[in-house]
Amino acid sequence: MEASTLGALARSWSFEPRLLAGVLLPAALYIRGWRRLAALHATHLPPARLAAFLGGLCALFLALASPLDAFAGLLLSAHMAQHLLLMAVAPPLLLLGAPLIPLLRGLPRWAARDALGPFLAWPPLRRFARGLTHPLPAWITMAAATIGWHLPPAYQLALRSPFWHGLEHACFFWAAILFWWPVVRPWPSRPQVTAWALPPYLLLADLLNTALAAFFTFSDRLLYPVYGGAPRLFGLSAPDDQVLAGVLMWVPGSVAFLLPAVVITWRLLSPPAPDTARPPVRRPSVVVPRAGFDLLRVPLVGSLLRARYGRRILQSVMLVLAAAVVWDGFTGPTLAPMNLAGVLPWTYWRALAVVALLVAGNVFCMACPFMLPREIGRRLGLATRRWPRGLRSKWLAVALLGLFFWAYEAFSLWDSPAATAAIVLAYFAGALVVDSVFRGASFCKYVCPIGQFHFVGSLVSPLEVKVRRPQACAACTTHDCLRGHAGQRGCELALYLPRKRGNLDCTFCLDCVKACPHDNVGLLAVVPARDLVRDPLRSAVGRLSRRPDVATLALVFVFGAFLNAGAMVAPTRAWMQATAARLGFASNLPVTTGLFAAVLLLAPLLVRSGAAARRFSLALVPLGLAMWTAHFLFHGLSAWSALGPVARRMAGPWGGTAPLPAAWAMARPLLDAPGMLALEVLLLDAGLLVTLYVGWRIACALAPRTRASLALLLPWAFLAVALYGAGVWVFLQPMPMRGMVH
Amino acid sequence: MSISRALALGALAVLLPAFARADGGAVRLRGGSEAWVVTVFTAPDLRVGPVDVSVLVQERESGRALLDADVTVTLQPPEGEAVRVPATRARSTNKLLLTALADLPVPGSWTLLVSVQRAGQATSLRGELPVGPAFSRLSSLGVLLGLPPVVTALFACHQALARRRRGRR
Repeated sequence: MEASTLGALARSWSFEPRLLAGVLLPAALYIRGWRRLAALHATHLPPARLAAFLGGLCALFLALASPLDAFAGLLLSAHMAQHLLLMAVAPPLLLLGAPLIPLLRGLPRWAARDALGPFLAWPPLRRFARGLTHPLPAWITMAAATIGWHLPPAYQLALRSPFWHGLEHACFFWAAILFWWPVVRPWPSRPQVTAWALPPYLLLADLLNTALAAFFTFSDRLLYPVYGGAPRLFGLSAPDDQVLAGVLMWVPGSVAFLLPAVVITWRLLSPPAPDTARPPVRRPSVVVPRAGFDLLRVPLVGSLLRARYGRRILQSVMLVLAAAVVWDGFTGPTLAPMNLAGVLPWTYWRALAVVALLVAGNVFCMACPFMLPREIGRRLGLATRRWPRGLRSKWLAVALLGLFFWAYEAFSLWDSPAATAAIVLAYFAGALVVDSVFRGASFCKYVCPIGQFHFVGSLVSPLEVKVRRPQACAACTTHDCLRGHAGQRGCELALYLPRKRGNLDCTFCLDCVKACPHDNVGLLAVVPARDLVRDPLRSAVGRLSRRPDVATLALVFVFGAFLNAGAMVAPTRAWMQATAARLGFASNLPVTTGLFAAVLLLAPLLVRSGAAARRFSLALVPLGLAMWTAHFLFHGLSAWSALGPVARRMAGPWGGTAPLPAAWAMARPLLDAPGMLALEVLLLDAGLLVTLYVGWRIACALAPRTRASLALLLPWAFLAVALYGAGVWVFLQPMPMRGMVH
Repeated sequence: MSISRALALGALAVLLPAFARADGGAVRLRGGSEAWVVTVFTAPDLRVGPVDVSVLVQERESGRALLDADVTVTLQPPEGEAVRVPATRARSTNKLLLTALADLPVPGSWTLLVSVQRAGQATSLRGELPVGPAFSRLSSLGVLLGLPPVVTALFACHQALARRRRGRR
């Protein structure tokens, strides 16, 4: 064979993400569990077990990703070698690794004990598993899989369809796991039959294998005509290929059965060895409290965030971008896709902000540029008044957020660079005026609608500004995190760190981090959305169950997500236009206004019914955030290259309004249409499931009896499922890229 | 990375559609010149949307795969302009094949023309390619739409078992 052909052969690997995940994830779990267990049960898990398990995974990867898979459709012998790896190499090696306990110990504690525990301890399931791994059903399953899939109609079906091919491989692999189980008896399973039964068990399997292999080898016709029509490679004719496949099945296949039969028989006939094994050494386990992941301790990122001017740098970058948006918005072309004000906020910034909420936290507020000019107001020393008592709630913010959502739809803000620039300017002016007159971060806490959006979204975020060691706070007398000191101000939103819970009202400004003299505040990892399950007394917030304003804010956030995305698709727009015409209006503005007004009126009514309604309203936030994320990612990933042409235009004559270039076309979307749809629905799936889980936990806390919990949850679960259905329907509609070139 | 995040990423990798396209499939055309044999593969059941056409060029005498052939795939719809795509090895998993990725927007009987050039010689193959209508977008989401009910049902079983266990204690 030529070197170039060999090279091409050697490069015919497939690195599909799901296959890599299927191999790397069990490997990581096993290694983690093995390392934990090796210290306790050294006799059960020597390094050979680790090597065997990893070897089994390698065999599996070799079978499914190597050139064997790439050539399986052209050469029966390659396909047979692949099946041998799947049935005779990977399964016994994996079982020799005694994978049950190491994999369980490798899982996070919550997953192993709380999630899987009840299933694993369920007696019927244990009996079923024990029945399946009994030698008789195990042997029959293996024989049925081997014979069934080698029948020509089944085999050719697998060759024609990727689905059936995958099913064939899954059948072979799992049937082989069952078959090898009684032979290997992976720790800690107990034998179900005497070891004397194993040699005949293996010999019978070999007999079946030999019969099948002989049929392949000596048959005078092609068993699978598909291979007759395939091009011949490496000088191998189709009949020769079939003979080679038969030989592969016969010789290595028989070795795989006979070798363990010989070893087992040898052991049975050998005199029992004296028990010299030392009893397992149980080392005393020392519990070392861990602070968990802290973003501020991550090299580089942590140093930047903790630096004296770290936040200022982020804000300055955003300020320059905001200035460019305002400049281009007023002086640039009116066509949104050509203008920085049409592209930067509506395509990039929104997508990045929601992704940041999902993977980190309220990064938008951390880098908010509107806070820089207000420092000027502070210098003037006018900010002496307290925010009016009557407005110390989220009601004003609810109205402003609703107004913002309505204005976005009613005035097509995405399509108007000048309006976008005007909003940015108004924001700067609003922050400057409010914070020049009132103390603290009144604008952030009570006014800013974008900030409220991020406050609500960050209730689901995986990072939270919180104390690292509570005992250090117990001894603290200065409370600098709240009050600040000469060189550093404390929390302007009046969040006292030892009693701060969750991310509500936290702007991630990190003032408390810098003010704490004990270096005891971090940006710590928390379980996402757990904050919604509990209802503790929160510093400067109180209990969420007693805050109808916060619950209403959450509902506006959730319904806004579905209204905003729904208004984007053609059927909804057609319905709005038809309704407007029926009511005698020329435009659909009154219908849009009516819809948003209905949300603003309905939401407070929903949460008025009691503390339970307020808590369930908050449980809908994960679904709302999922919808916002899916929607914004659609625009972000579809128009990901929109900035390039805009930057090129801006780099030309300042504020240039040159006509649209002929080649003003963007690159392909980062994800094709089916991939994008799958991502959107997957996000909605995750949002719905987290919402239902949070709702169930709240219901259980409110009503201990199952039936009462279900009765409490049911109406809210219906609402969540209805919203989910509406979201899927929206994403199934053709999605116009409003105001964006594509 | 914590093990919980690794698990979440792994689950995402399993649930998202595969990005890599398998080449090969069913033999669609076979022919060539005196010197070469050209075999064309596509998926057995072609539908509107992205499809891949894989081509294997071999020496007729020895059966050796010719890796330096230039291959262009032209797809002519029942009505309208033809789609012309060069086939490259980079898109193939099996590196003996050259693969062209094309988007077929309409169903019907397409004409497939595969042109092969190598060392001043050329040959071409022509055949019909039946393309069916696309599967509905809803049907392509079967697994993802089934996920919430399945997880909810499993969770319900989990809660029932956990309660029973607590009751026994």
